[in-house]
Amino acid sequence: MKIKFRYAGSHVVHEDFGDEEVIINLKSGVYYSLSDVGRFLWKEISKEPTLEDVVACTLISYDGDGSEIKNGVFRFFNELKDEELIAEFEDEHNPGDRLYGNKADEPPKNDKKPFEAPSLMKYTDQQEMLLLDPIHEVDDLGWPQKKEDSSE
Amino acid sequence: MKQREHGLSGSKLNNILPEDFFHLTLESFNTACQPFTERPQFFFNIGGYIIQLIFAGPSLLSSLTSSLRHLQVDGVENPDLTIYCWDSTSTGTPLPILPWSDKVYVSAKEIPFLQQNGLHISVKRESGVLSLFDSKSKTGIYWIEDAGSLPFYEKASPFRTIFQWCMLEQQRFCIHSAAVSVNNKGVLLAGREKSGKSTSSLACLLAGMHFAGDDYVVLSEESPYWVYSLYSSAKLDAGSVGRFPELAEKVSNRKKLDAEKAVIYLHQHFPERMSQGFPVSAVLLPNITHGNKTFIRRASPAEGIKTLAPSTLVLQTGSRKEAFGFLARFIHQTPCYWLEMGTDISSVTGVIKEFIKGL
Repeated sequence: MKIKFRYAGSHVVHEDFGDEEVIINLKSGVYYSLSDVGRFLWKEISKEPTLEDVVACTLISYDGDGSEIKNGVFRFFNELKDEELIAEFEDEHNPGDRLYGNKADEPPKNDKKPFEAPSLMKYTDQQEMLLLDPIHEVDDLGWPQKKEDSSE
Repeated sequence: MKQREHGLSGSKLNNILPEDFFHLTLESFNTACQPFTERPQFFFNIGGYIIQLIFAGPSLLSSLTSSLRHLQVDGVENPDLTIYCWDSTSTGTPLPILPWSDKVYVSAKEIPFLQQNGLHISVKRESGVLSLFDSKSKTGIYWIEDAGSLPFYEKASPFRTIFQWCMLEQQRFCIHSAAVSVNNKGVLLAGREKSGKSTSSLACLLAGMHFAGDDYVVLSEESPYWVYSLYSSAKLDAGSVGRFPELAEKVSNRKKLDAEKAVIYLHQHFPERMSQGFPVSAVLLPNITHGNKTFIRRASPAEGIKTLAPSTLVLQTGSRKEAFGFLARFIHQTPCYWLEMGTDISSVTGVIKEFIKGL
């Protein structure tokens, strides 16, 4: 069964502003920005791809050494996972789907942008304030209920 | 422990429905009114939304209305929201049996116990203020153990939690920003603590511009976006008061500045410059520089959201996800600019005024 990736959950909010993607992790209180390759890869995650899918589409869209691109994507996905911005899951319904890799989709070599390792800009200046209210993001707490982490 | 002093701790989780807790608390308010011959009332208008405050006795009246006086209106029969306000110490009436344990709220700054079926219940740990809001009956309840222990920031910005809930019902959001205008054309001044937001908005007021707030205002998704005033209070670090000699005598808590921010109720001194609201044409992002001159340069939308969203989300008691979506839509439609503030504060106002006129 293939491992796929998706945004980690409702604690991750994000918005694209044309040349920059801004992401906020409401659970950790950290916010981030992505541009260039990082922004491109973040958008691809909306398709819930496998890691191989992402490498394939990056090879299609960017010009660079294959192993450099692969390593850059792997490192970037690990970083996103560590920051709890994306999560792995097993897709039981479409285990074998490949989203990319069709040569016909590939742009001419001259149209490809040079690949630069994606960089996740991280901002922690509001983290302390956001974490003062650890159970703010409440849809339905029930009654009388509490989240375990609010009692410590 | 602080929570015991608040009178909000219970020894166990009691089997009580939220609706019942709401009604029992409202009954306690009625009991709290019994020692008094009348229930003081106060009406005010936030962007066409009429709110009625009813007090059990006089103990909280002045503290909770000073910053709202610029929005005061005559009484109406059917207000959009009624908030019942009381404290236990002056009325001799405790809260009803509590549905939570004292462990529940020891870590969070503000705990929304419940947000479902239009019923919202929240406790601010630091101040011990209990807020309840029922959107169906358009009723709010504001309670504190002792009116005498109401902190300065609650007096300067009262009912913030209840306002957030009821504004959300109107598709309006309370945001962390100052707002000033010239000729009914306005800008938001958005920034984190100590970014120069309060300083620059106060300087604008003193220079004759209109002022809707220095810290917290209501933003409405209209065409164009519209900002509404909430509080006429300005809060300054004690050290910043020296920048405004004309305000020094107007500070309401002069004897407590070792522990509190300086609070000035601006409507008492500049009523003609207080605005109830205006359309928003741009967002300015103040940034204190070491240069002398002040200038404005274009900021990207991403810089705008990174400045406005985190500090606004910090203050949200409702859904932060929804608030972020709202702010993102606003920033997509509203140009953002850096306000690079020089050391000469008098030049800041001139630059802002000319900028707004040119919008």
